[in-house]
Amino acid sequence: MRRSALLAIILSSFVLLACEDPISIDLPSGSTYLVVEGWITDQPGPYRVSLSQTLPFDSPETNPRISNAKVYINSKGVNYFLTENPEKPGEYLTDSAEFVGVPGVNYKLVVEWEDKIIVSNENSFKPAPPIDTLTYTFVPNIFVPETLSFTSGYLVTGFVSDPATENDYYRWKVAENGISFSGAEDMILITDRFFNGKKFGFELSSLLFQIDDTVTVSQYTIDAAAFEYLKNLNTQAIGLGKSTSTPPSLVRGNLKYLNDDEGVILGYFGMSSVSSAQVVIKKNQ
Amino acid sequence: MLRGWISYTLARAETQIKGATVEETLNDGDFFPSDYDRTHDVSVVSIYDEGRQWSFSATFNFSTGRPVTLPDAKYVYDGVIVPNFSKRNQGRLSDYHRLDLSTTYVSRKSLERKFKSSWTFSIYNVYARRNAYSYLFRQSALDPSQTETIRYSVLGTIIPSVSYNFKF
Repeated sequence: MRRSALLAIILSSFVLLACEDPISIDLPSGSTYLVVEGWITDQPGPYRVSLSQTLPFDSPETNPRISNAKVYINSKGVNYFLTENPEKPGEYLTDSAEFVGVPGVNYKLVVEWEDKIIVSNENSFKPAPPIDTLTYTFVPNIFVPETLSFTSGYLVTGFVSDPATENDYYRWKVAENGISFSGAEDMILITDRFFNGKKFGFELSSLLFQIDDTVTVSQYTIDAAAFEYLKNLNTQAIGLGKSTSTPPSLVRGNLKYLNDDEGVILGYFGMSSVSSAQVVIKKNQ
Repeated sequence: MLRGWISYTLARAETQIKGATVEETLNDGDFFPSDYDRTHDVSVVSIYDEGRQWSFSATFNFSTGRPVTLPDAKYVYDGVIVPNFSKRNQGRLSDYHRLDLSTTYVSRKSLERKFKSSWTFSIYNVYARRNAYSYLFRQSALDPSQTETIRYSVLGTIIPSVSYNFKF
């Protein structure tokens, strides 16, 4: 028997022992929280800050957006105001002619909504090292647990020379033929903890590409707090419930109500510089 | 002859996590049920020996579902629906119960020899109850704009088995 077939049988026996059924249970409908999502980069704007509110978990509705808030980014005593996108209520945009993120400069987000003022921690971001190369290798036989079958394709690896500074964190966003992978399972977070100051290669092991695919990797430099936030967010979205899982808990971001340390604001105002690289998969490399 | 026993345990296990900061504190610093708190735990075991050759046994287990953290809200960040968990272990999984049956046959010849053997036929989880191992709260795979609650069960089906035992 082929080793791969034996592996498939062993793996499928584990799959058959567990089952997942959609059910309906009574869930608590607790407080309503404000959710802030916004990122600025060193790339041309406009940058987007969106404001919404939470809903009960089992609600079929989409989360309500918050309009008519006063949103601005404060840097070195200057306020850069965002205007609400008339086509998308609750989405606020910077003026791209007036404001571009610059590495090393401090920024903070301020939101004035109803009688509340929400502020983010003041922070700056590091310049992004370039992605030196993207390489790919052909994998003839790779097991797909979802379909219990084998497939083939190309695995892409990106190489970056990590700067000598410690605590560099990266988020990679990958696009295939211009379409980004946006699911929680596709969130790639990298820390330089084990290769500080050295050239590292990171394989996009969950993504398989085919000939003539154009693969674009965008590298966002983030700080430790953003890394932790995104990692925790990702865990809450997809990684809970199994025996080895992290216990579920509130994911705290970097925003708070002014003069109210107890109030909870969900979301994160992040900043990063961006470098990117692209490769087209060809048959013979 | 019918033999057996019944056991019952009433228990309460709580924990408290009260740190120096809000981030290090759970459930406002109050006591809350720990992960393995099972209020009621009942086992009923009965064994019937019909004669020397056949014996039957039945085991029934019941326990209160273990504490579980339920989401009190959902929100969208980075295009992903995220469940929000404010307080730890405020809900419970559905109650656990299971019935197992088995019968053992010893041949007449086997009783008279030094080499003794028997066959045991058993059924695990007779009524194929899908006891919840955990609940998963996630974005629906079919409609990513919606959420779903999933009951995850392990060995949630009837499992028959045959075993041959011998001693000499």
